[in-house]
Amino acid sequence: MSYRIPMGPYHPALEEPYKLELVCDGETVQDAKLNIGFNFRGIEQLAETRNFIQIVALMERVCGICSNTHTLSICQAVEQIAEITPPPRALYIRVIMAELERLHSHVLWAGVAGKLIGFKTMFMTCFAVREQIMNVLQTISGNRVNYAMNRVGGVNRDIDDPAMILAMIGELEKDMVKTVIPVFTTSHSALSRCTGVGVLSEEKARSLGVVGPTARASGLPQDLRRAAPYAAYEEMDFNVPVEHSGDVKARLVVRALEILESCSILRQALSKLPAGEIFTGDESEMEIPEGRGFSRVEAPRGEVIYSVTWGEDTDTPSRVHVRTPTYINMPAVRWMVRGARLADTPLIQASIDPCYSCTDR
Amino acid sequence: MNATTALLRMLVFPGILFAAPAAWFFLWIERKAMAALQQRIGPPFMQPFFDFVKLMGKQVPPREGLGGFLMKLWPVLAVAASAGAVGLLPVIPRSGGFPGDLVLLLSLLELPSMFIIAAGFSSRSLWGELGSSREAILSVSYNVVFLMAIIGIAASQHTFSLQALAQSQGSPLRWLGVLAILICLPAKLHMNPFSVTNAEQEIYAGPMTEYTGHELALWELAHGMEWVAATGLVATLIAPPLANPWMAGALFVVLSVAVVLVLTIVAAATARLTIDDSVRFFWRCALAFAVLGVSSVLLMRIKL
Amino acid sequence: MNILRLLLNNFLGGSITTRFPNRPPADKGFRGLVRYDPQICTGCGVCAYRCSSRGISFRSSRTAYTWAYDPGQCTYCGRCVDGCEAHAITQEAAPPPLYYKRDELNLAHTTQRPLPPPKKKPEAAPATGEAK
Repeated sequence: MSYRIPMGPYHPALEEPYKLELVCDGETVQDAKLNIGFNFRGIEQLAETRNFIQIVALMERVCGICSNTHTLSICQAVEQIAEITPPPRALYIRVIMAELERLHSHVLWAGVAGKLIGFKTMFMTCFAVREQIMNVLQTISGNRVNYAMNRVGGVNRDIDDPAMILAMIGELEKDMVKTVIPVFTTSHSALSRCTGVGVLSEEKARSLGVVGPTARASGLPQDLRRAAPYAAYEEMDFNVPVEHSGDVKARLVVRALEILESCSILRQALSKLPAGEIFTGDESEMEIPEGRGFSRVEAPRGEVIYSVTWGEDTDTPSRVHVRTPTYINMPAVRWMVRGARLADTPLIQASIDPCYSCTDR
Repeated sequence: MNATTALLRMLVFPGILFAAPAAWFFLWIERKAMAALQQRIGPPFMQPFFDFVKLMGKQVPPREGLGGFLMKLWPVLAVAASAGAVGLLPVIPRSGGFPGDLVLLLSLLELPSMFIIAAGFSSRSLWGELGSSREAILSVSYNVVFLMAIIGIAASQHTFSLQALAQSQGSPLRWLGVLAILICLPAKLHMNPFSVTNAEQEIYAGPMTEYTGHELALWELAHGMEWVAATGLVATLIAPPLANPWMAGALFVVLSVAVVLVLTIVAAATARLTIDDSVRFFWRCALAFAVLGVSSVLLMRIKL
Repeated sequence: MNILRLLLNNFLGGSITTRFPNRPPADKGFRGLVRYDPQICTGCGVCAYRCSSRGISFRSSRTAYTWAYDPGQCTYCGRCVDGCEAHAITQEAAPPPLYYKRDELNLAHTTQRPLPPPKKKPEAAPATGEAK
């Protein structure tokens, strides 16, 4: 018996509206078709009506989870046009924010993955751990989701007390290493749902051009923090975890290792935090010249690309183009779900950590 | 047991009048214990009752024809069957019962699962069909273990009467049977790790997807009564015989709650298995218990 | 067995959630509702220029200017606070309150500009602000 099963746009397994149309033979998925665009908000067009101060606050709203990535990218692109170099302290604070964001995004993903395999306790535990990261973020930036930390030429808020934040990071790492990671890697029922499921081979991954943890779990050692360092990543010492099996478990392991790497980067950045100003230039006198800026940032989900074009004698950009990681990763889901069990499709589609508010912006 | 006491047991104690609050109480214990294991506050004591009342007040979309009639019928039958199962439980010893009531209890415990399958197919929803086929596959698998365990226990005591089973002494075979029943209960009650029938992240609510309002409320009630009946069966089997009826009744309730807590801990500690893994697990279980059962019988023979 | 230890710890640790009206305390630097001091405001209107969500509007004429704030549109990004040279705008260090009526928290202040002065440079504007 052949079913056509619509998964979405409203489905308990999806956090955001999109639609995966599955062609199933019994409980085996044969093919999948992807529909996106349910959440389109026209932010790129809206950005053309905002000046260089407003646009940072606007682009922050592209995504609820990786909001800092988007402000970082747009600030870097505008800084490139205006030829501004932020002071070193600002670059370090940017690294700290980016890594905290990666931490909370990965922990959130682990929680959602737990929920999708019916492991509610894991979901609750991950969200309790994530709450500690959110508290750190709130202490630094004054908000839990949209941090408003970046501005053109630097950052808005200083980190006054690195020692306290270091202590919070230590606590967090202890929780991750002692509870979340061992539970996930020793639970038989959880592992039986992840191992060998949703395999994306290395050739397929390369031909589809997937980015971020999805690529690293398929054996492609790509990471912009290493390949094209931005902010202060050049001065950080970290590993890029790569797995070769390409299944959901590999993506889980890559993210777990990245959480530990993020903790290590945070510790380095906080202890080496240079003194000095946190921004250059006076925003009230800043003029953005005509030109084009291009910025690439390694978001928690993969590579985010911003291309900003500024017209002559205007205070608004003439074009802002955004390419988000989910847009690149999502076609890979079609290849992952072929031949999978219907019960595994929610987990497989979630294993690339899809973000449709980014994709549909 | 004459007709009056049978009717009283069915309607008052431990039948419908007692079974409905007991069902809500057990649902609350399950939810509250789950919350405590997940660092949450959990629902207030009256929450399952409030849920029931709220669902009763909701409007049900009109459904016409035979399909609509059947959809209305299944939850009523499920409640009737599980209330009957609760009514058969020997909560207070020597309160009645008849030879062979264990067989009736088993069939009444099995009926809600069949009604769920029928409900899923008659709702004509894609998710209902998927959930029903999962439930059908799963019930075929776990019932082998479940029935084998019950038959093993009954055969070891040479009786099919619950009363006699409750009064008799435990034996190794009986404990083996109780273990097998405990392994089947999560599947019977749609709990993790065998909650494939209502796996919300995969197939919404499965067979219940199209249900709302008082029909859904009845399903919830039937589910709660299934909890009471199934845990009560285990409590009957493991409770030591006591002379004082009040003590026996209290012990019965305590043991039932303990079984609920054990099931909750198992559910909190596991992820959901897929349907093929669940089926494989139960057939392996069946094999293991069959080997254990046969060997223990042989060992007893040798000793004698 | 890790999971059982986790469950035991969770059980012994008590709940970390709270019932609905309770909220966790906010930090000292929390970005909450925008507060405005008409006494200090110089009427430059930079806050409205910096506001991406159009939560702050600033209307100015020769005789008066009106500063209006709509928390329903505000995204609490704090750009207006960062940009206010006179420090007339601050943010509450608490999460925005719940409100049940539309526009319940809206603010508007109209300040009369001083009459054309005999001197070239006017003093700080006398505030006759009133909430609408």
